[in-house]
Amino acid sequence: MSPRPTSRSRDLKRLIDDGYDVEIRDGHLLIHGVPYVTSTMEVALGTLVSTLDLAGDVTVTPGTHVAMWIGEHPCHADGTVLHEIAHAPAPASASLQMQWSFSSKPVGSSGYANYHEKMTTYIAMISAPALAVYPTVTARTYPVQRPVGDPAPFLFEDTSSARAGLGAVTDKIRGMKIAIVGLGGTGSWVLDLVARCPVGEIHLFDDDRFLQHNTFRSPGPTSVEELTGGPFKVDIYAKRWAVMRTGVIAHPERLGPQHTKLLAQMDFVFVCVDTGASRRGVVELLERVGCDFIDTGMGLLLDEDRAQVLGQVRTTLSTATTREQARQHLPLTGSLADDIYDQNIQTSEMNALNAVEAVTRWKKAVGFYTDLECEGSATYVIDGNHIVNTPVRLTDAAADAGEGESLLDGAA
Amino acid sequence: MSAQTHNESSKDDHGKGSDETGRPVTFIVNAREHTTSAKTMPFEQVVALAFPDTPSGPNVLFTVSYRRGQGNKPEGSLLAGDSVKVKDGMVFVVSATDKS
Repeated sequence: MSPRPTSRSRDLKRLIDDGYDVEIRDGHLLIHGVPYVTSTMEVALGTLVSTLDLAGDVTVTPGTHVAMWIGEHPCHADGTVLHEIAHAPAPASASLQMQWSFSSKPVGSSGYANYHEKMTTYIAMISAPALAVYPTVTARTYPVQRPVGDPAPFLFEDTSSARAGLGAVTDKIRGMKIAIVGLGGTGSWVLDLVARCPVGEIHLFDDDRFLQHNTFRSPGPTSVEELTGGPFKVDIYAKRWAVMRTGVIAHPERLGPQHTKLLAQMDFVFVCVDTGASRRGVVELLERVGCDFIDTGMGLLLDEDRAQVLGQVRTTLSTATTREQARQHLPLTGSLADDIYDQNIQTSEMNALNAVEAVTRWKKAVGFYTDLECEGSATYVIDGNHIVNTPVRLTDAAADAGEGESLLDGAA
Repeated sequence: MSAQTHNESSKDDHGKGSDETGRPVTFIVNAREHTTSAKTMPFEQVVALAFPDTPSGPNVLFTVSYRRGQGNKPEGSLLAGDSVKVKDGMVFVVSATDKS
């Protein structure tokens, strides 16, 4: 819960000043202790809930006239359903147990002007039957201000998930500990996607400095000031994200055995390294520690006759049950380094595509996205706009142990 | 398409060409056309067609993808030691996927 929206938004401040029991949680606005009549004609207290649209942590005009409700469906004084506002069962949310949604638009306008108008209008409609039974009941109880909860990881409310009704889905990755090994082209895009998720910690491992050519394969613009003094890549990214969230932690060093204890705490690791030799060291360490990880890798070639680029982008998942299969796809030996064919061509869109594939594969593995394919490795082929999936064939031992429902321990 | 055609005589010629009429089939590796009268194409041969000057050996792991293949397995990945039935118009792509 963040204290900020309520202190800086006039409509929320008015609700508090009016004595309503206001809470901001998971990007929603809640008003507790709203009196209503149940189907058995008793007066009970429920909670009115609304999504919350903010800009810079200050409320803007509510994006929807729909509200939600925690409690039995409010009724008329005679116990019949209050059909004037009835809408539908509410979408499930793991952290907010909403049961119903209401729909009542203000007469002659497109919506509510602000959250004070929205919430008080609904409360008036919900509580009117209760007042008919007990003329003294009120939602304006002037409660002691609720304690400030943990605002992590974002420095302002994550209203995006709430708006999309994704609370229950997003909860599957909330608080996770993630590591990204290698912050080059692909790693920097992986960070850009993962940092927007409510994961708890993102550990960045890379001992390279951020140089001018890196700026052309990294998300967002880079200023001359940022490049000054040859800072480490991981420090640049940690500093950038610090303005929006906590938990992006820089390790300006090569991943090694000294990180074993830290790696053991990671829920997931993204490997975005540049050579077979460094990949071998990282993969062997992650396998020893028992980490679930995804390895990314691209191979682009220049067709000199046509002046065109062709090639592939590979994304490989390695978990306790798929180690051997994953290894069949991982380049762990020397590259064509001394070979004329080793052109080390990389483009930002292919880095970004590899990152999108990797982050999507992770989210499928933890049950965020539907996963019917359970692919162990996937290769995108540019010249065909084609993705080849290699299915996971579990080892007999793993299959006997009943693995295969999910590739990850504890995944939904 | 200004593809150069390389004729190659297949070392493991399993009978006549892979189409019904026995004509050699044309297939593509890294956007270059090749022809063969072999029925199947082993991983090592696809890599050799893509990188003719690269000494073969276990030094580099190549990612080999194919599409527009034979009906029951029209697309997939080849690993070292694998072979796949070759078909007219089949498309292979070979590269090391080790960069980030």
